[in-house]
Amino acid sequence: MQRDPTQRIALGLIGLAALSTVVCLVRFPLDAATKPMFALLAAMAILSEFMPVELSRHGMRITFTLPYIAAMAVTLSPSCALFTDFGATLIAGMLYPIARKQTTGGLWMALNAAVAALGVSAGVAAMLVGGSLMQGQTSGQPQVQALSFMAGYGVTNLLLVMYIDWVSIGRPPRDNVLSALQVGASSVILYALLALTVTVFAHKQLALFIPLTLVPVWALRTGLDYQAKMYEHYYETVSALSLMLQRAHPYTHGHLERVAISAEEVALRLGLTPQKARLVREAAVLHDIGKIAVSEEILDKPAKLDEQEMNHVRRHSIMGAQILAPVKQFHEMVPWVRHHHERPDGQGYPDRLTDVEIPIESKIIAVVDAFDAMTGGDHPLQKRTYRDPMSVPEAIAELERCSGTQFDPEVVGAFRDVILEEAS
Amino acid sequence: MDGQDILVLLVAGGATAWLMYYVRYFLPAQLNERFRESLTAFSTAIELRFPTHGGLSRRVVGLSIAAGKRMGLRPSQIRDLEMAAILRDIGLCSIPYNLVNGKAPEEWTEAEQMTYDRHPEVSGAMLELVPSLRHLAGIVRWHHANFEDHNPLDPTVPSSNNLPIESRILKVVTEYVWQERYQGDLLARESIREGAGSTYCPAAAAALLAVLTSSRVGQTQPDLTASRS
Repeated sequence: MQRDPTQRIALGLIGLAALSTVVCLVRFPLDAATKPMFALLAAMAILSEFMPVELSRHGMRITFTLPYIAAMAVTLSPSCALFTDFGATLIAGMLYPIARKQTTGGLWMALNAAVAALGVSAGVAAMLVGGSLMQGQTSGQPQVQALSFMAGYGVTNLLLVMYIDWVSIGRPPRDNVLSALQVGASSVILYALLALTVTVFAHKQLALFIPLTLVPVWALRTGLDYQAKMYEHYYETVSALSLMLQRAHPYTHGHLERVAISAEEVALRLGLTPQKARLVREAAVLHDIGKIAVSEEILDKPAKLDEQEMNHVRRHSIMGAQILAPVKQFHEMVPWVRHHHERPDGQGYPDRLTDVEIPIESKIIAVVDAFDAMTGGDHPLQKRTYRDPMSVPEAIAELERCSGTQFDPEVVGAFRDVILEEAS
Repeated sequence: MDGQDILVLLVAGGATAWLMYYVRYFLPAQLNERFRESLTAFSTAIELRFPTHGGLSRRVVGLSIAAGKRMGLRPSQIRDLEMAAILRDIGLCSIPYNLVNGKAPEEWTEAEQMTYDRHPEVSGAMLELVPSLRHLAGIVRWHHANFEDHNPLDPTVPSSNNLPIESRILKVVTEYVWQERYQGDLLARESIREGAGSTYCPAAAAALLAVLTSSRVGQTQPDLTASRS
């Protein structure tokens, strides 16, 4: 029987998790599971599992079980930690879909539990390494072990999620890395501090203080929730502005999306960081927002524009920058939008900048935008010019012809490579 | 408990106190600021498309907030009212450029008038697509609805007190500001007085008129000439 890639990965990971569970149980018996401290830490871990934060529009979910699991692994037994994390993941996997009126397959639930079990196993391995480094030290050993556990668990979890998302839904690994970076260094430090605190309380048998750690958990959760809201709001602003433009000029629908995707690819190929490339993508979505202030009769005119009409259209790059300027998060892209019609030979608009003065991001948008305008969209409404759309080779030849005068040669080269790669 | 344990607990306690302050005061203010920035971008886009609307938005927002406060709206309602006042005309971007910029409203044909009159519905539909602004769609959709217009063909269309209170305030304020620009303050006030109870919600009209004769628009005396060209 032929299985799809997700099923194959799930079965492989479940097998690996089962093996690591057996090794863990043999090496570290579950004796400590009868202690009251185990019940308390397990209860706190399960409670925290039900206080998640959805961190991005791709559904990255952060829970706060790890500090309790780490404390359990260090102060009780790694098997207890594995058992608890596995159980908490399974319980959450069963109850969440019910609360959200969704259905989740048993395979996904088992896969999540397997990822949790493998995370704990990797955490235990890291903890043993951390513990061996601290041998002979009279103090600080539990803290170092807890931090090592968290590092091992966190890295393994991220790598597995990246791999599963990549194989099952084709999500590029860099998207998961960007989502993880969203958490921010300060949140990671606070998260680690929480684990250290729980470990100290558990190690010194100060059980009464452990429930108090829900206060920083709540505060951290609220902080991340606000961060998620701001992130979401940012994308909603981008969507709402592009929606306004699409209402004013329906042909832009599709054009903006295509330009955005290609612009990000070209940015990455030119060596820009993934974060900067993502920003170029968003700037590409908004680069024509100023056209909202341009008459559609002129923009859609099926004939060559006269000088006065051209001047009316040329206002759009200044107006685009003017619209985006009030939003602090757009500040970096405001000059990119303003200068996306500048030319290396200094004949562009609005400021007639020369090659070195034009931001590389504007040069990328200029090339991708021109290519899409030349080739036109699939829909008749998206054929923007009064000329017939060019074929892809013709459009690339035109870009190369204008390379050095209208377009940056390096950007044209990178764009050609992206297009040829997509075509092959 | 050794020194390292105590240090961990002290740092954790301090960090928790800082985090509590950060999430209680700093982050809500920052999120609010981001909202305001985005709303400014939206209204800038509309004002650039239709320069004749320039400056109206600020006056509508100021008077709406003042009227809302006078009517005893809760702070959350005032915030929604402010956001709806800024976003109410977002649907204007689907109105042809030359209709608003090329002709005076009195020259519009019936079909052109109908196109223009659809903008609250378009604004509402657009806001429905943005999750964090979806709750404002109802306010914006009805911000030009007459108070006493019952639609016998469509019982789902609200009227009188079934209209959102924020829509009723926006209705009276936007029409006052528009008439004030073209006819002057006295005639605009008279028109509001005459329409109270039929075109406008009586309570909202009374609140606006009271605001206009008092000094509650953020200035010692309302500057009624501010938005007149």
